[in-house]
Amino acid sequence: MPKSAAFARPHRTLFVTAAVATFALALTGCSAAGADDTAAEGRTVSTEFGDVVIPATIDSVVVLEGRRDLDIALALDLPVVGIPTMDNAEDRAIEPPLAAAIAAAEDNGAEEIFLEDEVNLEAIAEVAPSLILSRNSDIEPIFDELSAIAPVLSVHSHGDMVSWQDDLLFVAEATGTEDTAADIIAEYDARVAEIADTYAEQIAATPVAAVVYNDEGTSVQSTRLMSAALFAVGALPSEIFAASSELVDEGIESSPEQTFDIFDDAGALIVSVETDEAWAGLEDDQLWAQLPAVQAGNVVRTDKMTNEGGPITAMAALELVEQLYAGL
Amino acid sequence: MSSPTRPAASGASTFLAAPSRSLRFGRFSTRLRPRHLVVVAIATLLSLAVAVVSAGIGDFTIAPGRVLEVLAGQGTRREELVIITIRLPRVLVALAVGLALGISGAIVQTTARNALASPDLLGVTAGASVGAVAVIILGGHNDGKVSGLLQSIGVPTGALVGGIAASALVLLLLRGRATSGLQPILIGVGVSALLGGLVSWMMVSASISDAARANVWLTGSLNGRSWNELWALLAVLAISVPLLIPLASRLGTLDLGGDVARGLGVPMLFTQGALLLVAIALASATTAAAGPIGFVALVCPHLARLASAASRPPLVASGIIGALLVVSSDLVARTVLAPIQLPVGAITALVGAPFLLWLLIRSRREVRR
Amino acid sequence: MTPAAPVTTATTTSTATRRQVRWLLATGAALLVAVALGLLVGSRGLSPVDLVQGLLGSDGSAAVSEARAILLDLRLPRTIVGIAAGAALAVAGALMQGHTRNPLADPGLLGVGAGAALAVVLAISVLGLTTPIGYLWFAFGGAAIAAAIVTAFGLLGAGRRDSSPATLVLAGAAVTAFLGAITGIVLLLDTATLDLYRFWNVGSLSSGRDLDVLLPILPFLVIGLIIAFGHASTLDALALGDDMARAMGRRLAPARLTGLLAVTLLVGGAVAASGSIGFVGLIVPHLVRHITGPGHRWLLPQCAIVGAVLVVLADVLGRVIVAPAELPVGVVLGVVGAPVFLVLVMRMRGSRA
Repeated sequence: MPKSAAFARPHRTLFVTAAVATFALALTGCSAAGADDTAAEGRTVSTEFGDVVIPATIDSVVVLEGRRDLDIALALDLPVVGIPTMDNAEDRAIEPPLAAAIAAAEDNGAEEIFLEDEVNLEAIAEVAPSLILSRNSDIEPIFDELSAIAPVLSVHSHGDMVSWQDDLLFVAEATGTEDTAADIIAEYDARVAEIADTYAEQIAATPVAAVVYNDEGTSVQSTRLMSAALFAVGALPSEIFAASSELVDEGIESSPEQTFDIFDDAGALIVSVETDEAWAGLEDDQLWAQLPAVQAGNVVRTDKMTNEGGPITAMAALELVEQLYAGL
Repeated sequence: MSSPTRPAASGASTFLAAPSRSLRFGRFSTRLRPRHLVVVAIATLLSLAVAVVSAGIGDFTIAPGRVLEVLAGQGTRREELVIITIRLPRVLVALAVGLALGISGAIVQTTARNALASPDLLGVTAGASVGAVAVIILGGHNDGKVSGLLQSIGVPTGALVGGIAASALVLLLLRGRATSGLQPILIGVGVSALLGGLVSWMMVSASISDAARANVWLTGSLNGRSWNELWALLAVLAISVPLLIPLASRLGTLDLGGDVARGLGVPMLFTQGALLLVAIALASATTAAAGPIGFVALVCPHLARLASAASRPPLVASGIIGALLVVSSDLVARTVLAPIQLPVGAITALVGAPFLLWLLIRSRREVRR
Repeated sequence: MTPAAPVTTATTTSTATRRQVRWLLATGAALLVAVALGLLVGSRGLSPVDLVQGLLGSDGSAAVSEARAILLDLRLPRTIVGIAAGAALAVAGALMQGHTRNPLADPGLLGVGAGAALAVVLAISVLGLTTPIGYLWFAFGGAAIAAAIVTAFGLLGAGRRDSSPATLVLAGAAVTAFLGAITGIVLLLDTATLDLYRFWNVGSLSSGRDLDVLLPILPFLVIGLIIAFGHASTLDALALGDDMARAMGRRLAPARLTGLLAVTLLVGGAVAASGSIGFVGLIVPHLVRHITGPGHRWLLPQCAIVGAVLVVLADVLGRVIVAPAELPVGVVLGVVGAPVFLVLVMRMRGSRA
């Protein structure tokens, strides 16, 4: 995926977009094929890359990144036809939250049309979608080419400090699915309230943290989806978890030697590891084993799939939050 | 001090070297070498042919003849989308990259009088990598809260600055020493290793997503190269080529050695400095546009010299052969493992590394300068 | 040496020997200091009292248990791996330099890391192995094969009178680029491999490496060291040139093969245990030659000790520079080693370039 000239200013990109659009329109005028009927009631949406016209009826959607964008598209029941190749669900130790929804979409005609991280413009052009949806940093370098194929909508990543709810509402407004979005958010909020009420005591009494654990050490970041789910139910953050929420868009990485020191005040932990061997390796880690939360057995396992996502992943994250507090 | 710049084989071919004619227009005269012209013509035709074929190949295959029609404006909307918007910039960038690298390599090899010199081995690519990775990793996220200077400079300029800075370091370390022989290459290798260590440091300290983005840039690929990169590269070429015209005529004299050149009245330091500056700018601009693509600047001057039976790598032929090499490598990279698109740098390494080994083996049997 | 009247050979020899022994004691002491630093210094600062108590045994308090866990679980294994890898790489570098008569020979520069990386990537991607212990033998094999290829290439060069040290370095660069391209392609085909490979590749003494990884490899390292030390007099003879060596009664082919075997065992083992760490094999023999002179009988053991010291100290530095995170030892040596390499090259004054 190209990243040079990745920081073009929006207004210059707008100019180039306009130039390409004009050029394409001119060619369309010259070509023998009849011009496409641009939908009379297309919505004009203002995005960070300029104004984009979305057709009123959306027949097909291509998603480029596979996490928040795909989650939102599936949650809004948009007709997804193109997705990037992702790790097989069978290869992962824990079933990904989106696996069921993706399988359903694939039954309805969605296909993996390019490799993760290797956006294949021709494959997208071949599918000729009505809408392209992806993450802003993936779109920016190839915005001109993408918008020549189809209108492009962008969502953010968790490091941008924009919540999935805001992105969901944005996409819903652009695609005319506001009602579905409102229902989804209401469902999420209801679930949050339910957990917060049922476990109010435990929540107030137990400092918690969401940790990513690997060979290099541990990482805590408050903007990850899993962390956001904890904060949503009003969790009491442990010291390092609270410290990470003061950083704007990065996490706190610590070496293996710090493991005991930084988590010894947490009463319960959600830990993300990638493989079963890594999970078994946790038990061999003497510093980890001495942690109060571990000795009390208050540890819930997840993996990187809950770092980023949209409504479907968020609901799965809430399940883990409930599991954590229910075990106290 | 050894300097394997005159392989014995080309000693034979210099003996059989192509005759040249002089053309005179009033007060101006220039030499024409027919064989060189033939090589340039053939290479140009081949490059364009491969470019047209490459523009037609992909998920949606279009015959070369049809490609030409589409370029002339008679295609369907879909064909135009695929060829003009998606594939054409990439092919043009490939040609421009090859041109710039070929010329840069020829200049460096002639100026340093060193058959193994190349911008990659002299630290330009590593420096450009440091610059670009620094911008990507230290530049922060896109929500406006970024270190302003790095953000506005952008990746290509960072690469350009890094390349020039690294070359300046190498030249500084070389100060006063002869540029022939393998010592400057070693200095280049050392500087590249140092800069590579810095890149590793930044990659290790960066967040995973930033490291992934940097890693993609570091692979040297033409995926998704668009008009922006092309215009920037063409701008550098447009500035460099006119500068080269007066300087190129002195390359032949430089080739004879410092003492002879000075005796013939060539301002050595200025000429060498100007030539190297152009070469470094071209190589840095290439790295800025498409990431580090290795071995083209090393291999093409040799191929050009052998093909045109010249005593030193001819600039134009090197450039055109470079264009041919890169656009062909890109075609191979795109198609050999379709739908996976390999980085073009991988193909050039797979081809260029054995070539370098062969050059090294050959260099043992040479007459020393 | 003392500017005295001509002394008997016996006195000269024993003075020289005593000097070497003194230096050996000095480097041995340096090693002890390095080990102490390796145990006491880290990204998590511990009070000396807790450390000592942790060493002696846990007394139940949290602080001492933590200290004990850090010491025994984290710092001790990586210090031991650092000693083993450093010694092996330094001796292998001295062997390579001696055999190829090339002052720039170094296992890291010569594509060995790239060979090991390719083998590991293939192991992860094709066979689905996920832990360093799993792909240990692949790393060993890949490094060994690459070391053998490049050393053989260098030996071809050393055979001619007009050989150039830089040729070997460039050959190493070519091999590294070639293998690196293949590795990159395999990684593209299987993106899940990248996560695992990233940790392994950078040359680190932590990252899931503990004594489980070192112990299977240790016999090979020990055998390699023994062969290398026994090989010392042959190396001295080789340094005088092939013709002289033959005149002194050495048979070249077995000597070359022995050297190759030792290098392969040492480098393969070191890379398998700790990833690709560069510059140790290049710098240490040069440093040690200043102390011991060119005689390999003392050079090789000193290389082993000084190499161990260098890697352990680099690891300690990596723990401290960017605390609370850590910098892998391969990166530290890369940033520190490259300038030393440059100084070496510039001092060569083109005499052998």
